[in-house]
Amino acid sequence: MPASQQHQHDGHDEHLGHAEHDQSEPQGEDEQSDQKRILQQLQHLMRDFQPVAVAKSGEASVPTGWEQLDSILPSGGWRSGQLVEWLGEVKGGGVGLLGLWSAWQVAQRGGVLVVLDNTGKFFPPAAAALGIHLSRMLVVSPQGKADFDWALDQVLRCRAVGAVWVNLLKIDNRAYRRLQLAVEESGVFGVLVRDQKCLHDPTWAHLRLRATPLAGQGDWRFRVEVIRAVGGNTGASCELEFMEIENQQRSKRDGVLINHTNRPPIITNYSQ
Amino acid sequence: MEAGKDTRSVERQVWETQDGMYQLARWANRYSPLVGFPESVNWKRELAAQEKRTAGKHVGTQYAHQPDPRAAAWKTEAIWLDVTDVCQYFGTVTKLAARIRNDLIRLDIVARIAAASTVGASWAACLYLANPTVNQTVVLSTVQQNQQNQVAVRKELGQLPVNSLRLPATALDALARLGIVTLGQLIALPQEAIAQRLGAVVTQRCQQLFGQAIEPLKMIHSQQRYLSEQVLLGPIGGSQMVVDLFRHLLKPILGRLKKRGRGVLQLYCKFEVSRYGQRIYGDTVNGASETVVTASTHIEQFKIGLYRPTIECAHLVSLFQLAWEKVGRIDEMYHISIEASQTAVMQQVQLGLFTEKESEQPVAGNCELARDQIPPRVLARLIDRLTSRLGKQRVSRPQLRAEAQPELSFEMQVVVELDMQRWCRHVLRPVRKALDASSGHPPPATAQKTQHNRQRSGWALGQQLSVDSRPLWYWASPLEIQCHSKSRTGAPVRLFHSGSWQQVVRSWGPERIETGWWRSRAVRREYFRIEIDSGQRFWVFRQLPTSQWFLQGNFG
Repeated sequence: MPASQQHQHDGHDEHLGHAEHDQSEPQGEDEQSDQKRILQQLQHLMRDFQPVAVAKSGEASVPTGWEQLDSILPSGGWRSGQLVEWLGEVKGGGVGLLGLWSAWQVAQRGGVLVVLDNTGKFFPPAAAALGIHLSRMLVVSPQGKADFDWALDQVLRCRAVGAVWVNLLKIDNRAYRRLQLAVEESGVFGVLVRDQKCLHDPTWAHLRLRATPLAGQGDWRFRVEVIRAVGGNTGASCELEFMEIENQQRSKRDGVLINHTNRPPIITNYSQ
Repeated sequence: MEAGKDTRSVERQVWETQDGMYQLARWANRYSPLVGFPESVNWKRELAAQEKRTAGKHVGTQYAHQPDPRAAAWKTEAIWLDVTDVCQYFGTVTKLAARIRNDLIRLDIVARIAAASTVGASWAACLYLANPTVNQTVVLSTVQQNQQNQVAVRKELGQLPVNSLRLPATALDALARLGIVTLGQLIALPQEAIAQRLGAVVTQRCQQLFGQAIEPLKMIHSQQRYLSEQVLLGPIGGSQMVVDLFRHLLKPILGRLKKRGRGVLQLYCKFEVSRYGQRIYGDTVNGASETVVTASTHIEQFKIGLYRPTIECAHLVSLFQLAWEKVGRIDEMYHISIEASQTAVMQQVQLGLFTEKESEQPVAGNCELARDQIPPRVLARLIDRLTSRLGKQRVSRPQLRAEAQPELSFEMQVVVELDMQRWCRHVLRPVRKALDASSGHPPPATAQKTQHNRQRSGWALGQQLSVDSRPLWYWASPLEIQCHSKSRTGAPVRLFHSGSWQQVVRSWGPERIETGWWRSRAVRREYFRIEIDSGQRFWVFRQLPTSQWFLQGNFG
């Protein structure tokens, strides 16, 4: 198990251990419900504490473009120095486009947007259609796994890089940990797009999201679940529509704010 | 655009010609320390005029004289060697001229060679007395003190046409109208009258011809070779030792460059090595031994290119390490040489009051603000590292093209072709428009398109595409698929995907293109975006008129 996961679980076990210690004493059911309530309050406090801590450190989060997604992310959006893993169907499931959009959201605050493509199938007009400035994009095409791993490590370590977008198939635990340390040191926003088959693989990403397209619903509607979030709430989910990006672009272009009341109903679930 | 009038191609042509002449001048440094060109030559203008002459356009001007296309070649096609006190090392002037001629023949360069006591006389002799087809070199008397020699030279030069005097076309035209054809006729006239009627330039050239006036030349100094090499015994103790050796050899080169205010742009590294204990020898003269192997097969060499000049040893060493990793296993090394094959003037850096060099420390505080303050060299170094290991072609920037056919709708621009400094500054700056919009303030209406974008945008680039209109992944060679379509609209209703028929839930299209007839054959396609029941989206097209279905891409 990765160390950060371990650390998180240790912390959780500590609370549970304390609770078990209390429960070992012969007490009534009311006390048990009180403990549950305290734990819940503690969880809420921890969740609320995280954004405050981030705000105190001076790092403003970048809005994702969807309010419902912002509300379930630990820092209320993307943060520099974060490794985000998008899981989903990479063959047409739209997860790559979601990842690319999130990378661009951070990269437009400054720094080059690096696309690491070892397949040679990346289609830049798709990025241009998303409103990404191709002049700020750098496409790196390494050949072979050794060069790919090396190039990924290099771009994640460079402070002049705003965000990195990569379709990652397999990665060993040690290399993954190195990537995590790299982004934490450099402040680069790393987006790893991975197939949903990797759901049970260990991860060192700060945030692991799973995007599932909802066929035939809305303007390309997705269900996004938070699988893992360091310092945040796991299990939360929301629904968002990809085409809202276009509304945002139009509003930026025309200088008109979107009327949110016209949106189709969006569901947000907070897991307890 | 006509290739001949393209500004960049003209500039490149000028640069190539000038560079070729400078290279020749540097090569000629082996015969004389003083090699020069005529002063104040506008190469661009002269080459344009030369191109006109080659095309025969100069005949259109109404001149009384017959223009000689070679007459103006002294500006761009000639170099002068000052061989004063140098001839003794080669025997005589004649022997020196013969040696230069032979060396040039070996290099497949056809040249006219003449030696004389003045710049003007040597050019006149070179133009009209030397004959390159029979390898004839001309040596006029170079001893000015001898009265008899001077008379002989005057007599010989007097027979040459006035075209040899390096005069402008207007002066030559005036001379032709006056019936003055040879230099003898011209120098027989009183100097004051010539100056009054034909201009001071004619008298000046006459005086320079006989050494009565000074003619300065622009001298080319021999190029400094920033070379460092070392002979080794053979066995090496691993890659770290090679890196240390590289650093040791690099430092003196960087020291010399620093004194001249220059930095390395390209390093050429050459190693004489052997693998698996196979001993090699530098020369193959001794053919008796069977173990002698030609050195060329065991020489490892590579170039380390940079985008901006640097004299930072650590950066160059890190690039060397990346390149050395690709060389593979080396058992023995016998010779190592490092040369800064390309250098450039270093960029001027404003120094701080209390610091001796620019701070390398990351800027603390707000990440977004700090990224804007990151020096461009950080990104340039990343590009250096990536290109050193992956190759220049593998680090690129996409650019849209005004083409309807998806395979041709973009191009990957190699980063080496960019103005690195400007591009780095551009990408490190935040997108102001986006920031304004996210903070609730609409961007100013004037910030729509730059002049550059307006020039580049065609009808295909100008159109506003929907955000889900293009796939994230595409196949340059589309894959043929099986698809059932509606008879009325032609939209696909079922798709054979992953070994089974999938129902198409939604589709958008057709987006019809008909293009490429000017390339080889016309491309007629009807594109559809389709969504199958699992939520996956694909980009398919129907080829017309065959109605075959192809998969062009998927939406990631």
